[in-house]
Amino acid sequence: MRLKVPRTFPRLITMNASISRTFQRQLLIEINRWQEEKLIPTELASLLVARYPEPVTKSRLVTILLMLGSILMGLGALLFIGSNWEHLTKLVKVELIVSAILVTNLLAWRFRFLPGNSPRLGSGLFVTGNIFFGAAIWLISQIFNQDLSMSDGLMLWSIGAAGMALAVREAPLACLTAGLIAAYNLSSPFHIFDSSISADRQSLLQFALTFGLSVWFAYLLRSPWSTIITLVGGGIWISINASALGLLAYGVALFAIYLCHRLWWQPFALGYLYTGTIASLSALFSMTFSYGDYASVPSNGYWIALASLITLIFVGAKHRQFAPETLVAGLVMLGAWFCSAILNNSGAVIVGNLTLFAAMLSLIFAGLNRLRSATIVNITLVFFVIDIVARYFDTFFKMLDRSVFFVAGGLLLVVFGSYLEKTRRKLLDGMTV
Amino acid sequence: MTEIASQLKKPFLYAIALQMAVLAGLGSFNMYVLTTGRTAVLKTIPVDPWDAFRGDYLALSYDISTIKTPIQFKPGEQLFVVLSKGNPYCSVSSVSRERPPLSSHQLVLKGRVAYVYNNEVHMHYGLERYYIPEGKGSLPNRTKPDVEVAIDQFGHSAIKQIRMNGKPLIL
Repeated sequence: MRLKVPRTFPRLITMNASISRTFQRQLLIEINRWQEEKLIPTELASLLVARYPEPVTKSRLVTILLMLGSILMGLGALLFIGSNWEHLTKLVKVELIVSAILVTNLLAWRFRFLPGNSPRLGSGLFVTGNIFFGAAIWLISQIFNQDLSMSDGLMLWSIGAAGMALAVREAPLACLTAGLIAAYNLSSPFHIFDSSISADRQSLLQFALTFGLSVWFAYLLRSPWSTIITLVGGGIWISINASALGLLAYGVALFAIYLCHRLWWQPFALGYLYTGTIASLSALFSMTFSYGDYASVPSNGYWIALASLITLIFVGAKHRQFAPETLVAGLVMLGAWFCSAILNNSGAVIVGNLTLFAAMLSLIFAGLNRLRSATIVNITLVFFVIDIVARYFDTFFKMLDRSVFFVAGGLLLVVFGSYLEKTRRKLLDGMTV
Repeated sequence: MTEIASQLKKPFLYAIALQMAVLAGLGSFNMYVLTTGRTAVLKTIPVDPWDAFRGDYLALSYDISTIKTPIQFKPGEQLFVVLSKGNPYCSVSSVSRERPPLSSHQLVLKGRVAYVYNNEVHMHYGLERYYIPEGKGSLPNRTKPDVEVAIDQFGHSAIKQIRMNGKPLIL
């Protein structure tokens, strides 16, 4: 009797059996062969097959195409509004955009939730409908010649999108909302979108509030990508508004949160690890330049550093097994603070380089031996290469002739890259699984 | 209807209603100002940049956008600018953080401090854009139009029309 693969099995049986489709098919062939050769009884064969069911995979291409199509339709609506088409009266324009919002959302609902339809098309249409909603906000402000600021418009848009995301529990809408909140945070105080008001209207408290709201929202809607968008948006806000020290503190805090978070809801936890590592290393890297901004840390930077320190102490005290990680993270922050507050420019550059080097070594060690994360090792090695290139430019650009500089640099990169790849493989192969 | 659809139907309708309410609120706020507000005529200096999101518009700057004052204001502060009605243009009488009492020939306009330079405060009133059909932005560039605005009792304002040589501007 040839065994057939069941598509679904009880969660308890399959929870430890996450495998690729190729491996599963190969395994099925082997199990059939073992059974035919009487190596295993039928019951055991059935149990093994049940343990490794055919993985249900979604076509990413279809999802990507649908999402791209949805976004393009939404952008088309924005451009249509932008053209301020003179042949339509104001009332007709409003009717058009309101009808577009209603029809798109109702179609999305039908495709997503009613039987016999395409749920992924429905998800895409929900995104389109909510981009139409954003377009409508600016259409109405245009009709009344209202100089609606980008931040106010984004705030209204995110309220509407958040409402819809909560109502239909759609992860793509959660991502759209997270992006809108991040853009809102960036738009108001830093003139990225709105150059007419130079005021520093948005305080750190306001940022913390909207950021916290966005994180809570991502968890509520079970959307890891929404968390990542929020964390990245937060990192950009902090790097603009709280200098390198603030960004480092933010990265360290995210790393500490990961240490607590890693045992539950792993897809969410990984976002903290990766974003935190990239934020910390970017901040430390920026501190290795002589023209860095470590000399002038705004008060926001110190507040974030304080919050990060409290998080570290909490994690270190509650999870003693991570005491080395929290201790090293604390020392790295101390080194960065030393750069920004105590040292003069050249001293700060030396301490900045040493701190970055120590942080990179610690991350590689932790990634290999304690966190068992190949991604962390890879991210750190990327920063290591960037740092080497930067130091090469720093040191030799003026000293060497240009042709010698580029030939030597190229040669150095080839040799170093080849050595690094071998070392990286050796390191990752040696990692305990 | 599936179970999930019947569960989410009400929240979905509420979400649609919320979006419509946001749009209606935005529109009716402006309608309220335009219908209840008193009219003031402001002197301008226009330019015509292009906004990637909203197409062409006239960027308007007013005489009342720059105010000389000995009081120290910070960028971002919300201020009340008292305007005295003139013939035809309004001029600034005073500026303060609180809404002051007004006489019959005065109006109060709410705005935000854009930036401060020496003793001059540069204000942003939300009246700085007048949207025009795409590609027609160069027409009024050579002249200085007058802007007729409506200002309600709370200091909110909206552009009623642009006038060129005393006649409404039609693009």
